[in-house]
Amino acid sequence: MDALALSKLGAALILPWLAGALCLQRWYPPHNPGRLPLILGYGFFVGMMLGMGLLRLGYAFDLPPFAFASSGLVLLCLAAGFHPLPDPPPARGAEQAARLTPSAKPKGLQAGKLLSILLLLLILLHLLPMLLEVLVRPIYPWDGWTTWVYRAKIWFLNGELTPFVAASQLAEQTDRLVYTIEAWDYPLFVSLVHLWPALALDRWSETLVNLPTWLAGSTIALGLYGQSRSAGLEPLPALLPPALFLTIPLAGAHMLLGGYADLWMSGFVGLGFSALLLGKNRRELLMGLVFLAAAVLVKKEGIAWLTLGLFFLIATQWPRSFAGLMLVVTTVLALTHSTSVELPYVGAIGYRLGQLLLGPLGSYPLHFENVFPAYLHAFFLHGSWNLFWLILAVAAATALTRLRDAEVRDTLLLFVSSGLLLFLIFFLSPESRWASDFTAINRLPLQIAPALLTGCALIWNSLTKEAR
Amino acid sequence: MKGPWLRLVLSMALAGLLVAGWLYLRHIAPIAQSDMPPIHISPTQFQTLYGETRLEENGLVVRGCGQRQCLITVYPGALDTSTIRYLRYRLDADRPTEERARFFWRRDLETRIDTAEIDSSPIGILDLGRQDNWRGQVSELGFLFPRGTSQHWTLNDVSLQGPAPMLGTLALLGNWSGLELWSQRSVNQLFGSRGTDLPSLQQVVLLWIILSLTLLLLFSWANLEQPSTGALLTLLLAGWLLLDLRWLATLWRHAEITWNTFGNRQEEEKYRAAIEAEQFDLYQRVRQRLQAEQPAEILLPQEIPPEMAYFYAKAPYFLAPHRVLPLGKQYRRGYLIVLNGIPADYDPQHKSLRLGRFLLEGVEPVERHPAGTLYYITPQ
Repeated sequence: MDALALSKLGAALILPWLAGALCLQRWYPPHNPGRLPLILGYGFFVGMMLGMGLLRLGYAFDLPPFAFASSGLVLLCLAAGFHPLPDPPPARGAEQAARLTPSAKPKGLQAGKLLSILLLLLILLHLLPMLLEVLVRPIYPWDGWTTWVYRAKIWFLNGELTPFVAASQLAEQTDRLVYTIEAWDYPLFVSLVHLWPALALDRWSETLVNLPTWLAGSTIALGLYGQSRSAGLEPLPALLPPALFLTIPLAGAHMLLGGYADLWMSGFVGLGFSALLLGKNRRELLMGLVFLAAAVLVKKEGIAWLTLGLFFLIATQWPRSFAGLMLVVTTVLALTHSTSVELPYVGAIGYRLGQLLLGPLGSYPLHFENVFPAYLHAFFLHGSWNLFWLILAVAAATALTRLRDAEVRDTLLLFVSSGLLLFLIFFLSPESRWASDFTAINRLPLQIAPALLTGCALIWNSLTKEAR
Repeated sequence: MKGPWLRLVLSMALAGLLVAGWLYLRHIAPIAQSDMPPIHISPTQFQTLYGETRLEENGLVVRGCGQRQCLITVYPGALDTSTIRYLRYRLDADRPTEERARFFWRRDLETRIDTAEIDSSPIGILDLGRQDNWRGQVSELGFLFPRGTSQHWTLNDVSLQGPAPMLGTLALLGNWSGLELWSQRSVNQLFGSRGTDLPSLQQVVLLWIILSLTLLLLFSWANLEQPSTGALLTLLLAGWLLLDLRWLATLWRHAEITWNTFGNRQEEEKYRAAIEAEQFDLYQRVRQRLQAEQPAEILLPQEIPPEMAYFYAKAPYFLAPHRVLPLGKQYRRGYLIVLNGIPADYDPQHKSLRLGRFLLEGVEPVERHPAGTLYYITPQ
């Protein structure tokens, strides 16, 4: 690859990131110790979503898509650079930083620094072979070349966002060029992400189209570090959540064998819930909600995470209203001897005749499938997760001793509610087949894993802050 | 050392002893020491059925497998499998590879062979006692080497040995240090071992950490203290780090394999180094042939044997931007690709092709290739 192509590719990878980071430069309070990694971590996903949105617009209006999207991003950089948002009011992180004045800094700093360097080295030792795989190995995993990357390749070769339809509709489309794949109705975002480097290079590449996915994994780690720092953790313990995330073998597999959407979901869902978990001001809560809403544009299950996010937000921000609402709903259901309610404009919500009714989202048959043995293997006995779930279990058990701390309560709520969501999907719905055949049993939890690590960091913070 | 940390060290040590004891009692001790001397098979005893072999100082070099698997074999007489538990070997590949060689054996009066995958890890051992069909009398055994012309394999120090606790320990270590190759399942789950039914390092470390944790809690409560959070974290991170070292080694070993397989190659050449090399070549030929018609429509059969599913599934991606459609009632004219390996009967006299339940007429082959054939079905 010549220098020009390399620089175009580099610019295409950095431009959305820079635009996203500049948009967020004043999003976090100036004294927040995790400000820069937060800006870089969250900024990457904001920038990619904006960039792919512009790309989509370019195609929709028949404009040169790459030129349109990159010009839009440059304009965004300029606008955000010259007219940044006003500074938000100082938040918790600032107080924490203030407490860590030089005289108050803990003893053993040298040892801490050394350990931090070792942890950074460990992270680097994981990232390097993953990057080499991305740069050298052509698109490898099944859903990559059958679905996500395949669409991108078709679009690149045809020079337009050629539609994909269900196989049953193919015969009806006689007057236009259409394609079919099994997952024809998946959202476009991840395919656009794979298209982006190819447009920059002006040629299709079987390897380089995966670079944004590797970057996504790396920037999730930045976001996690930023969140841990802004939660009040010192640099060394704040490095643990990103280090643990990057060393989860399954996360690594998704970074180096790119082509799936789940790592992007980890970014939007995981960092989204992290923001909600830590969000003690409106900006962070808004960021969390925006990320969860964006997840809907990445993969269909984003709607389930968004619904959980809304539930979580209400339950944590307005706990009394939430408890009152739950009481009212329970009372109404008890009085009407019913397990479902009919809401105007929404439809039926609840449970009726073996069906889970979710209003406009449709109804789903519920039937218990015992996939516990599969979970035991997937989470504990196989090598996908290292000791992630054991750590989570220990953290949850430890959290029970700290229930007076609101952050710990919120974390436990996230653990329990996300666990219940997974239980609903994999134990009670027809989707259980994806658990028993091990295709999705690990990938769905991977999407929330960053937030669970943030939760662990909060529990750790709660346990140690008195000692500090 | 302060109390909580002393308790941590004690817990970890005691738990380590308990786990080691369990491994010994469960997996090593039941293996009775056999007094049977090892049956050594020298490189000169092997006959080469397919491929090229050459005797060198460091063993038998196998290469030039080409389109078929190389096969070397030995007829040791009637071996009683009940006395033999382990295969020991030293197998070196000239460069790291994703391919695996296989050990095979044929039982008396049977035409089929049974095989077991072996790798070129430093601990060359295969636990034959855990193979399903290692039973009865074996009259032939040998090694199969994967297709491809560029790889060289060097085989030496082959022996068949009876049960021995030391070999059981080696088999366990071999399971922990063996490389788990990337597969289509790797983004869904990673096994963390070579996939034998011996306990994996993941399971052993998990057990060790849970036991340590339990002991730490017991010791702390016995001293009427809460367990130290620092000690708890240290314990969990120690387990994590131990497993991560294995994962890190996996990453770097794979990086080396990937570089050797795909590095310094043009993009098309990368696929010619992959398992779908032949099919890729056919699809490329078809793409070039239909260049002027793109995007053309290309039909693929729908009734495909499972072992060919992967190669057919890759067709749309490799043929892009041509449209790949399912052969059926609606689509039964135009170009059709039939890969070798699925039952297809072409009658040149009547220009008909029988493909599963379909009898297609007006069919002519337009591109023949070692991987399959491109036909054209004339509209009737």
